Amino acid sequence: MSPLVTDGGEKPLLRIAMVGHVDHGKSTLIGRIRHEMSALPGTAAVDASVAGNWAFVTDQLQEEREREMTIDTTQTFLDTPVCRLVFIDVPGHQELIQNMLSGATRADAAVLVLAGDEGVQVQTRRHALLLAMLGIRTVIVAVNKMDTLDRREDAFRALEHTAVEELRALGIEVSGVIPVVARDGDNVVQRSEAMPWYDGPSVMEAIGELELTVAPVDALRFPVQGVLRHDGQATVVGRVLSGSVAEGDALTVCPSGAAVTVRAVRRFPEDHAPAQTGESVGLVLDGPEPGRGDVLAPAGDLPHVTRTPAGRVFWLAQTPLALGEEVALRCATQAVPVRVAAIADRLDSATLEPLPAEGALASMQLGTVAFAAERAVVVEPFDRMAGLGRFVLERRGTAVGFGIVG
Amino acid sequence: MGPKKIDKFACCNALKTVALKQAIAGMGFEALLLGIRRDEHGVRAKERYFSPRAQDFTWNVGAQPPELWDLYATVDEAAHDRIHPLLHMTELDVWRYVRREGIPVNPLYLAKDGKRFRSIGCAPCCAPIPSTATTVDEIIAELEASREPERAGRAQDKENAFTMQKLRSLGYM
Ligand SMILES: Nc1nc2c(ncn2[C@@H]2O[C@H](COP(=O)(O)OP(=O)(O)O)[C@@H](O)[C@H]2O)c(=O)[nH]1
Ligand SMILES: [Mg+2]
Repeated sequence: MSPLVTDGGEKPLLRIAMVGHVDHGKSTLIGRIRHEMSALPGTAAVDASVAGNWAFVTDQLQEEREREMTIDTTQTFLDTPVCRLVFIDVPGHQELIQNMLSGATRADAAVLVLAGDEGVQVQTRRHALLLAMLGIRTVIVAVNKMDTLDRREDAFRALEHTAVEELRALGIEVSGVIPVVARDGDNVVQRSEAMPWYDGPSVMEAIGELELTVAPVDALRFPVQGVLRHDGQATVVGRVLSGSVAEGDALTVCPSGAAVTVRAVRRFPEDHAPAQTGESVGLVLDGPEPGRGDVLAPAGDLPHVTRTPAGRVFWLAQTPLALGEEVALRCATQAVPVRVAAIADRLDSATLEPLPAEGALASMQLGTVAFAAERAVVVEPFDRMAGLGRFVLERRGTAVGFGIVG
Repeated sequence: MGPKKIDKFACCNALKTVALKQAIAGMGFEALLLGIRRDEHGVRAKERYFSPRAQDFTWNVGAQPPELWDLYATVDEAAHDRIHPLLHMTELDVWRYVRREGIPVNPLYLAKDGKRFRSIGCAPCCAPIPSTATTVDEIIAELEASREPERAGRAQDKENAFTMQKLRSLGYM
């Protein structure tokens, strides 16, 4: 479970995105879970008017209900005795992929919903690819609408096999494949007696058993948000991305390489204890003053400093990303103009098939993009330091694509 | 004014949205920091931390800019931006935070004569709930056991299923 703690409580937080093709039952599954779990203390009962139409628990917009389709991502909370679960519903429709990403980039784990009557579809693949890219490798597969397959084991096994193979090809080892009837509640919270051939956990039981992988390094990374001046003193403010920082620490400012020493850790109320991962603090430094975008790190374990960053990029905008085009690359607190130097290994996210080598990166395509940056940027491989290994590309302040540093 | 004289939608729109528009124009604000939270209402559950609003205030909920990780769009051509730093907190989180930090609270939240306000907005539309909680600790204990939604006392949520959505798309907070 992730070490994050909510602002008001002490319990760990587990954020789960429901992903998959449109109409496969993502919203219904969340609504059904909310309904069955509403006996929990402190949880409001689900509005009686949605009974049987469980998708309406999250599909609350007029146009969502009229069209019976999720348009925007929603987050629903469930406080259990051991943790807070956040269910992130996302739209399955291709045109709404930016809303899917607004939800999915906040998830620790995912449930991939696959309707038994339709099996793997375009958005099943695309969402699975995005999970792999976003580093969400803890995935449960819910094979929904088992009623349309007469709750038969052979039909389930065939889908289970396909799903496991396709996800493995993307580098995801599934944490369980569960036959479900979301509408009726079979294997959602309670185990279903109508599918006696299945002896595994329900979706909620499987969620309860998830083990999340913990970040592999704990070296200090302190991306500078800005410098505040107060009483003639400069305080460098930011949030500790990883590791901890104590008074007396000798640090390196990246990308410049300048050496600084932490004279004081400043917070309110005053407390000079080391600042821990996730904490927003001020640092008073001895040495050259850093600025917004700089990253403080220990001299013995520095992030990568480069004028030629590269990564796997997923493109969102209708106008493709062209060779030679200039966009803004944002990573942690950095915002640096970069020019597209090369585009390679393009992939169609609908089919997962490679595309011809030549060409711009069009909407819904994935490619390896090499940039030439106007000045040095600080990055790290995503698997090592997620917060410095992911970036957003912007045109005039609008996110048009995002990428992961390999 | 007041929902007895005109319908609730028109009342809310006049007392909040129109008044807010006048204040933003008068003061020349570029951004508003608001305390709305996802768990308050199904439509607020769809909000972003940074939400650009057009000149006429409209919130196009289906076409919000992507908000990837914590890399928020901070440059835009919006008339003003709404910033929602408490979006992920629940009602209980807020009260636990109030307790932990010793933050003073509006006395309307505390029970008097067996009633207290759980959600406070405009006078015409807010009704108190039955309660005996006279301290922050008692409010926390009450909420930990409650199954009623937070805004049960808010008339505008009940009027019509989509009133909240209509109000929000016009600029209601
Ligand atoms: N037969 C059957 N239909 C279901 C089941 N779960 C959901 N549905 C229906 O499938 C449709 C799409 O469900 P929804 O949850 O909106 O799908 P989403 O687009 O993935 O969120 C709705 O009409 C649901 O009632 C199920 O287990 N069996
Ligand atoms: Mg849906």
